[in-house]
Amino acid sequence: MTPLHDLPHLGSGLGYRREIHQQTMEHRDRIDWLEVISEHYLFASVQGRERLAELRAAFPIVPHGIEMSIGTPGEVDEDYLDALAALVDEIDAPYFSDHLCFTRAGGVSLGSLTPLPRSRALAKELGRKAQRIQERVGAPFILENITYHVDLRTELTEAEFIAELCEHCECGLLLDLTNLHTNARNHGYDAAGFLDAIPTERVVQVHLAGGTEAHETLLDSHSSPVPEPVWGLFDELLRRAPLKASLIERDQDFPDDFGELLGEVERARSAMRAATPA
Amino acid sequence: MIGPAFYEAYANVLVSQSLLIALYRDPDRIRTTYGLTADELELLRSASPGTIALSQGIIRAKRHGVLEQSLPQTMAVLREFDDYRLVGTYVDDALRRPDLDMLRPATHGTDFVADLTRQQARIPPRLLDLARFELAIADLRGDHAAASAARDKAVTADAGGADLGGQARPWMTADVRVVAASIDVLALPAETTLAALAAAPSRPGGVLLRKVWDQPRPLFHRIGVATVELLLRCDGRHTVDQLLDQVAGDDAGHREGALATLRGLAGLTVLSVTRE
Repeated sequence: MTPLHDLPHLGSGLGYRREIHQQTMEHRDRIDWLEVISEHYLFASVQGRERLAELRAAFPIVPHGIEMSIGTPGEVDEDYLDALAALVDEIDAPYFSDHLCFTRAGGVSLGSLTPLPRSRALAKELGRKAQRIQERVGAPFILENITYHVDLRTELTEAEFIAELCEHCECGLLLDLTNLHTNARNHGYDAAGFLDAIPTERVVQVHLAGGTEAHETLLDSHSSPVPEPVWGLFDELLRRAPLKASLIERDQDFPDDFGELLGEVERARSAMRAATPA
Repeated sequence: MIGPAFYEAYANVLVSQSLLIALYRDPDRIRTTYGLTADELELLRSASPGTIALSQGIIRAKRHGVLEQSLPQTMAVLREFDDYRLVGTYVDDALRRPDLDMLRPATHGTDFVADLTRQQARIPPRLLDLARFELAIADLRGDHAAASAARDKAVTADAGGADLGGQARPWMTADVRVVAASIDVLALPAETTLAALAAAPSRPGGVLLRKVWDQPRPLFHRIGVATVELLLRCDGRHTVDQLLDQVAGDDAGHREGALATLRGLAGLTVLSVTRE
């Protein structure tokens, strides 16, 4: 298993979406790597696999899952992990990622990343589970912080929960800085304090995106340019730890001018190059 | 220790308005239904209802998105294997599809059909026509202003249209809806199937729906494309002269025809008029 610090420096990437396939391929020289949604390719059709092969020929690719549901009680489905391992192997992915949350329980598929009842015991349990998943898939596993609205009064804060989980596994972190900004605003905590509390040396990759605001609540819609406070957090993180990869995410309201997304990819790349960790 | 029962209760509350209400008003029901410990119930109740409601909305929106994305494929499957199931049944069935794991209380057919009509570019046109028509019926049924207008008209014989001058600004009364369609939706079988939709001949036009006081079902009137266009512009902001410019230009014959239509509709109290 490749140690986190030996993972390749992927640079500045873009979340692959079919809506922007053509532009992504046309501007391959300005995008360092792509992140694909794992579930779109785990049991893909022939056409899906051909598209993946086309992408892989042009970019390094990292699979990013949305339905592992590591927080669901019990073990993760074996067939899912087999397919994920095959995908990682097929595209020679340096690592794979998913979210620290649950999406299914008690026969209900929420289709939404849902916050966990954060406790020390659960952090330990999930840390060990993540370690087993990483070993089963055969590549480093990095876990992402989610945006959440449900405000359960839990034993640990989100940052404490992540830090505790890292004590029980060798997995990395995918720090979604937009989610951090969104949660900090919506739940009234200090984003810099969050960075103080988590092991930033475990952060392998970041997500950068823009959302919307409704009734004084930020929503993580991935539908607008990355806002300045998130770029500020990116700079702050880069001062603390070297990153292997950054990624611009856009899932809807794609700009007519693809240059807008390319500009964000370039800005992230420049920030990473200019960064001098303390 | 938090056990699987907590997650089950948590997930169900996130997709059910009635369970959310019960969580705060009748917590014992939630505790016994899911077998929660006192600690688990307390933890679940520690969330503020507003944040759960917000999450419910997000989950509902995502489910609509999944349903919408899967619609063309579902229709193909229905055509091939399900002997042309009803469109309305499709919506209900789709909400229970095991691959989506929907719970019925999370959403319902009208919500979804309303969502369909906002996704024009990706929905088969004829299904969209039917969805708009069904929505208009549902909309009239639940609209208090429509009921009031229909009641007023039932008790007063208010014939209008006598003075529809060029500066008058006509608007459709609250008891009326107009739906444009590429087929004759009124000619479809009462229980419309996907097969019927596919077989319906192309017939651009529309339907004028009118609420009848104390009746659940509105009156339907077939109208032509030109009348649909004209009525949809009658929003109380445009003058008669402006409307005629928009739909008939300088053609005197067309202007005369459009004006006669407007007067006729005003005479039938489909239109009311704001005069300057």
